[in-house]
Amino acid sequence: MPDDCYRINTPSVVYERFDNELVAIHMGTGVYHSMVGVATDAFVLLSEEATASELADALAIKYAATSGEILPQLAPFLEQLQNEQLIVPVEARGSRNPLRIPGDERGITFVAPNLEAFRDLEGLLLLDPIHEVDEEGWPPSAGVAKA
Amino acid sequence: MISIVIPAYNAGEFLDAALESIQAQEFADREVLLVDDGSPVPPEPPAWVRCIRQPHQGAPAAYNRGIRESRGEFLAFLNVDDLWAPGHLTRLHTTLLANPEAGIAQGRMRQLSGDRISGAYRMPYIQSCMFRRKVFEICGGLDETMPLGEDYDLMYRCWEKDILKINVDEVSFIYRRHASNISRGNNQRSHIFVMKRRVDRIRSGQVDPAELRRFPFEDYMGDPEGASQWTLWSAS
Repeated sequence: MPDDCYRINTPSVVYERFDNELVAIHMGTGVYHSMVGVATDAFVLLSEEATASELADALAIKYAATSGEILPQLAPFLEQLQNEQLIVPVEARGSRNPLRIPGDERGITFVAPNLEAFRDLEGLLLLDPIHEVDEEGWPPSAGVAKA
Repeated sequence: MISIVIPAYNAGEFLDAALESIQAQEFADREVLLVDDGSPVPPEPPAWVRCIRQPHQGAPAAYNRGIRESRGEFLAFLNVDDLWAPGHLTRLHTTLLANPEAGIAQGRMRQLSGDRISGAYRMPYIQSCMFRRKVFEICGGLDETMPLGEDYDLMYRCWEKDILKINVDEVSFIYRRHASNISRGNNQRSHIFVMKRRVDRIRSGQVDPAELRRFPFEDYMGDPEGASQWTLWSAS
């Protein structure tokens, strides 16, 4: 598997981490994506650019699996993220510090990451383009006319 | 009677204008409840406004306190930095009386930004609505666990419960954009919270997404047409 580099497709994608779930929404497609467990850690790591190998190395510290075991199970997840436009390939910078998952949890059972999509919510976003898009008002001003 | 609930936290410079827009309403059978959500410097509203103080708990809790303490069969909401258009209460009250099966009447809204005002449009802002009290008995109040998006969430739940909403063409509500809007820059996050609550209801079995709803979602939640036209504001 080529060790391509990826990052979260901001600003088109916004995400929020809840207790045991990470929710990511692509503001263009309006699709709601839900992740739990390994997927949440992998996704947050992708807020900085990361290769699959770097993700696997970071996950192997927290989860009870080796980097070699994790790597092949990441591939379908990264493909899902790409297909849903949640991540985009980027050109890798030269040298980077190793990725780290915050916290000191160790030995957590590794379950292959997955992405759950809810598509019946799109209407809300597609109906309501962002109110606070800029200082000019929402949607962008179509021109100011004298009253 | 119409009960008007105003949640307030550090009410600020716009409160007087909001209260004036209430006083300008011709509908007389009303009570006004200002729920101060623990402002360090409490507001001092005029005597015709009933002021309720509570420890700081967030806007949804302030709305709910107002709903609980109010007595009217009909409920309307206004934020301290926003305005109602003249005739708002009378129009929506008349609409609900003429449609006894309806739980909500909603007018259009505009955004006011400095000296500019947008065209008229409709989105699920509860400040542009009047509710029968029974709506809250059926759907519950505002979700106090939500840091943002509680009004959209309420309207989402009303849609899921097939509450009949009658749309009124006239403008009801003026949303004021200013530097310290609570929601400013947070609309994207707000949508995440609203959508998560919907997904949580689906997962818990409270809602079956496959079940056909009585009203089309887009019609129920809004109509953005008109929002992109801006003109100069004239309060006269």
